Amino acid sequence: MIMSPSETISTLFDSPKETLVRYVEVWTPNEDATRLTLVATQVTGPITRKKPKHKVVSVAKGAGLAGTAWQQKAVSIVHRDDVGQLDRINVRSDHDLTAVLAIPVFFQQEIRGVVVIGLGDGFGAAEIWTRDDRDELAVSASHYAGLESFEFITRYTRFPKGAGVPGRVWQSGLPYLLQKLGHSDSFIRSFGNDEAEIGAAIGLPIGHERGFPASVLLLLSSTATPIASLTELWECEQSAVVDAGMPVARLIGVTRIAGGSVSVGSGSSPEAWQSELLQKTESAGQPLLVTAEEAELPTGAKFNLSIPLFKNDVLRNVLNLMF
Amino acid sequence: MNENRYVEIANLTKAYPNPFGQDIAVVKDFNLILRKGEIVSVIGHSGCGKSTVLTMLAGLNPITSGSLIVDGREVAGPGPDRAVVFQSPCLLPWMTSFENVMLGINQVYSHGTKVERKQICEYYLSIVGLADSMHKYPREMSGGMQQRVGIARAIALKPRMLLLDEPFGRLDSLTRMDLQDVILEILDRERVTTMLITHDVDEAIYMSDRVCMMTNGPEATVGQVLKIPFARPRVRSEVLDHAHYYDFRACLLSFLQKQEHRKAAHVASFSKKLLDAPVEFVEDTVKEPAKEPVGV
Repeated sequence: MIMSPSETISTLFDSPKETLVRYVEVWTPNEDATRLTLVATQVTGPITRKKPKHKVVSVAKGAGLAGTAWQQKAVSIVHRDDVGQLDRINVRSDHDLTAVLAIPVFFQQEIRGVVVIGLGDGFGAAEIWTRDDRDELAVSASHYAGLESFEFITRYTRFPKGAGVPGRVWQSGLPYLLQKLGHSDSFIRSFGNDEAEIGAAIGLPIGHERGFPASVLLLLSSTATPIASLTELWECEQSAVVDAGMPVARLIGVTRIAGGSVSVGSGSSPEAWQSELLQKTESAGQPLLVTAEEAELPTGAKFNLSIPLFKNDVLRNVLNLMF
Repeated sequence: MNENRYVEIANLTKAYPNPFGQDIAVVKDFNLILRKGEIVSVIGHSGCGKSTVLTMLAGLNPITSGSLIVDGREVAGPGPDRAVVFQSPCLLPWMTSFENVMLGINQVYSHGTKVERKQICEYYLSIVGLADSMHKYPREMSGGMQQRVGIARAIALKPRMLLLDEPFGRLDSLTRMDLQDVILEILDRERVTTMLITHDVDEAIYMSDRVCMMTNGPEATVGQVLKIPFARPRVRSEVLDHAHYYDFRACLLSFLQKQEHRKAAHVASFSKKLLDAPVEFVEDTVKEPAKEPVGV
């Protein structure tokens, strides 16, 4: 069974924990896919929203953070120190954000959108793993909030195909959510106190290159400041139902991080809000940022970010970050 | 020749049949690439399959699937291009150390003159510190000295790859450190690509450019690779005093501890399965459970 919004979820948004993600933007391509347009913005937590120096509402390929992620077909990370870059998005966040990520979403080679995420202080990390000349994955860019021993050891860590969360995502081409990292045999990079801080890891394949993801984005979520108030990775399959000549995606599995704990469910009875979001995300075929006014969300939730993940022309997964 | 991919181990798998006739993979999808001249340690718990990987690389143990390529050539069996040093030196007792080393040299340098071969033998025995013991028999030498002969015998073949299977496992600490330095000096000079199997995390850090951590079997594979950034040639005191030495050590120990927990959980689950499995006794023989065999 798909997990019902248990007490954990109903109380999750009563007094929500501060999340690592403080700011979200969604950029989608225009009709002829020559530019990306900013279509939605949401702020969470104590971020101070200031008037930007230059209000940018659309960018060409290669321009700004979103355009760079599109051009490079890879996640771009800008750190707090690089204020010049941060000015190009719509938030002046010199004090509020410690880093900003731009995550491109592709359907085959076609850009479907770029999600820009601003991270604040706390515990957590974002790592981009790319293939080196020995077919091993190494971190090519990263941002760490706390987690000093992780940051250090990661510089010297490599994963062959199939090893660790990055190697597993790279081999399968599918996202992966790993729970209870401190006790997991699969998460073997940890040592020292950092281990206790990290609760879950979310690995996302980014782009495609010779049959494998071009890179892997790994988000480390802590119990103190989780990536989002509620994180769900949905597994989908094409159902027999056909809508407008196209098969409709069906939700067959959910891995959830809520309030620091992770649970896994599967089955055929999704909640109404899950079905609605899946249908909206599938029909848009793009990242989607919806507020509680625009869609049915669990009580207390402000907004939800859905990132569709395609493999072989098919929507296979959706990552949902709810705040 | 691509020096960055001098040794390529791809999807290496080794399976053995269990008592029920099913193939159980002890090593599965093992992937590792070594640069020319690189020293890579493989660590993991006893029985995880470290030596299985090494013996397959040596050509002494046929692979079930995958591929092994050394210097552009697929490994199809044992050969002098891959020299092995085992925990026990295995010297021929009726031969002197000189004669033991000459045995391999005569095969590999058959085109050389007798004088040349003798010089090669003396050279390698002297660099392992046995210049004065060339004509001693194994029974006249300590375990450490015998292992030095074993190392000289392997290196003298000028192998493309050196395979060390816990070569210091039976030696006392002082002899072990001494021999580690002997091997490092030779490897720095000869630039031989080396795989070292060890249980000892300090040995792995001191000797290697990279440490490959193997998960527990069955289906053991590479869990993680740790790059060791200390410069070569290595000076033991400098390595031990390095600001991050204990961070690397903690990382390796943490990995081994996690594998230990996994092993304990696996044993507990296996025991439970064994107790729960339906067992049918017929005339003092135990029959295989009908649906879910528990042999591993």
